[in-house]
Amino acid sequence: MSVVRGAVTRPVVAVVVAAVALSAAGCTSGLSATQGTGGYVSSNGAITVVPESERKPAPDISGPTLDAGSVSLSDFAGTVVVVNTWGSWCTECRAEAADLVEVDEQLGDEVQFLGLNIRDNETAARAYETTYGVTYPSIFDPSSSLLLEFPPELAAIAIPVTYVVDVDGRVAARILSTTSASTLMGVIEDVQGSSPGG
Amino acid sequence: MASTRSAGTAPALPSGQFLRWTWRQLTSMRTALLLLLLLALAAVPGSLIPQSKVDPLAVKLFADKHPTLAPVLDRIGGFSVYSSPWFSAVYLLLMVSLVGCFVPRIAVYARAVRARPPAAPRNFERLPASASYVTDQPVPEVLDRAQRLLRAQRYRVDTDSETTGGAVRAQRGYLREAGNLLFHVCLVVVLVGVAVGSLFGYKGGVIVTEGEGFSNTLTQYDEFSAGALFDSADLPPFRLQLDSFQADFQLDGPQRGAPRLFEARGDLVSRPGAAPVPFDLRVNHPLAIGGTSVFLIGQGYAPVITVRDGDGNVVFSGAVPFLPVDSSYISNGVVKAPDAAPEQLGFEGFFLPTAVDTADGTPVSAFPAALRPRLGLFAFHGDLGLDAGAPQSVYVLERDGLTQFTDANNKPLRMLLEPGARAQLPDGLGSISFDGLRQFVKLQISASPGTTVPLVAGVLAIGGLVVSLTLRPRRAWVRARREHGRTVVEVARLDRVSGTDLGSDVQALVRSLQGEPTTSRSS
Repeated sequence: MSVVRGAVTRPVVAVVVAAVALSAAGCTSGLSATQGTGGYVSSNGAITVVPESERKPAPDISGPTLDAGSVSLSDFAGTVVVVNTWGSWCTECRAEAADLVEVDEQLGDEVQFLGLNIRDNETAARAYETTYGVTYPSIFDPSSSLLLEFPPELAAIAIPVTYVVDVDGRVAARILSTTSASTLMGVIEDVQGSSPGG
Repeated sequence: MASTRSAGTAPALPSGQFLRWTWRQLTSMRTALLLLLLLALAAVPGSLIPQSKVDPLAVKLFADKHPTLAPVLDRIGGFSVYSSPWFSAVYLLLMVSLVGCFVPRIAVYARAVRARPPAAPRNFERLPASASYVTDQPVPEVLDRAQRLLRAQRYRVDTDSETTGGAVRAQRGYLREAGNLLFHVCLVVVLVGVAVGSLFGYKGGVIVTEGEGFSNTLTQYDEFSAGALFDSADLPPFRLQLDSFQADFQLDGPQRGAPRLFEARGDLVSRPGAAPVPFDLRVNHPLAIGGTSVFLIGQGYAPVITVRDGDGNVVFSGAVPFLPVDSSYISNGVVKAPDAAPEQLGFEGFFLPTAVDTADGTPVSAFPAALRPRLGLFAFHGDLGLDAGAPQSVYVLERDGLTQFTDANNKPLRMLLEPGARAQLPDGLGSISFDGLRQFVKLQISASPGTTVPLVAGVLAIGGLVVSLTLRPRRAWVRARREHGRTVVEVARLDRVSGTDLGSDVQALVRSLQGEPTTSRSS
């Protein structure tokens, strides 16, 4: 897809010293090798659980919710929070929506879910919530500005991305791409198990 | 004899000799030039065939259009030319060739710079230009004067004493080889610099509609490609908000419809918590944020569309970018309402900024500005294929699970909306309205670290080349000896590059040595 295609096609001699570079990239789980698939960047799916001693504080993201209220991460201090980034247009998000709702219902008050709706319009996002029976709040952030505040080493490098924030308000895990109820449960248990309060 | 050699076969070179021969061939100037040419040729397919690193969607479309050619191209790396084995091979061979060429030459040059100028040959008359004369000045005086004269001409000078007198040896033009070496080294620096830039660099494209924002995180990009060593943590965390976009087009004359001004205005927040700074972005005037540049590379229209479903609920309401297909800004776009009930709804259509009514209903736009905007739509219902989890372009409607709405004549239903209009879908399945119009900009956001390195190296390479082409290394010798109570002075010069009139040069040196003419004899 292009708008004024070919206006500047730089004759760039690109990507070289291939052998060395490729082998080097192979060591770093290749997370940086993302690509556009027509309108957005998707990922290959990877779970990072941060050891307790290395966790960094999660940004206190806050903003207007889709149901015309407002919410911030610090409202849920002292609870494990699952922050899920989604858009109604994103196929991988739709694929995991039912699983997130399932885990949310199963864990009840033990774990708080917080959605982060990006690159969407409010009506489409609300219709998505109706379709999947999402009851937890979602911050409406069409330009992804809140994602900039997460620790760079755990950057949201694709959509969907799900963060698990521990009871001390630190980023404990990042799940890239579609997750399942069992995977998410496993990660939450990991995070709870390592927390002093859990 | 036990072993016989069949006639006609050349004797096999011992393997060590063969390797040395190969190395000499590889590091020869001719091979380097050939490889440079090959590299330029190898880069050509990359600009003719869509590249998956640049535009994966274009690759997919190309593959659909050329079902037999595409698999072949794919196997030989045609869709990723710059990282294909054969391109890398040419690149690496060129590097090896250049490095193998100049490293030994630097060693030779280093020795030559420290060495004394070459000794005077025994017989000057064998040299291309020589002269001799007889004078009454004593030998030391002649040699002293010769040294001073040659030093003034920027020769490096040394003296030898001989049995019956002495000789001055001199050489200049050492910088020629230095220039040549600088050229070679800089060429390698350019190659490495460009490679490093593309290994650590990134390039992404994004569409931002008026009133919307962009944050520099991968989730906001429409397309993105990066070098193998790029780390997403290196993306500078800036955010920009697009307030307005102005596009002016020529209204009359032969250049009617030509773009006159594209200008995007908004605010830039260089990092979370920083104060917003207004920006003003125009074509070829990128915004620089640290090492990252934001270019305005395109624009188009984003009609504001609202979709209601069969239950009467609003299931979509927002500006939808329609991608221009030609200079009149006829644009194509897609609207998906996956949460419509009872069935998902999809729309595919075109946008005409200045619609012209044609007899057969062909969509035509007479002018790129939005003077008479119309939105043409075809509607579908069924399964959009969004719930299976397979990635899908937001600009393409996957029609496999969809049924197209038809009109009373069983023809595909076509709706042509003007701003403010709403069209009902058949069977009470919903409606769609064209509420307003906004514009979008297409931004290219890129960084290639160390772009100044290849630039500086390129300039230095040209400088080196000029020096190596213009400077002439030259040797000069003056020998003086006592003979029959007088001093015989011999002068000779030797150019390592032909083309100058050495004879007159020798004469000039003789005249300045003598101060006044005496009997002189030139060869």
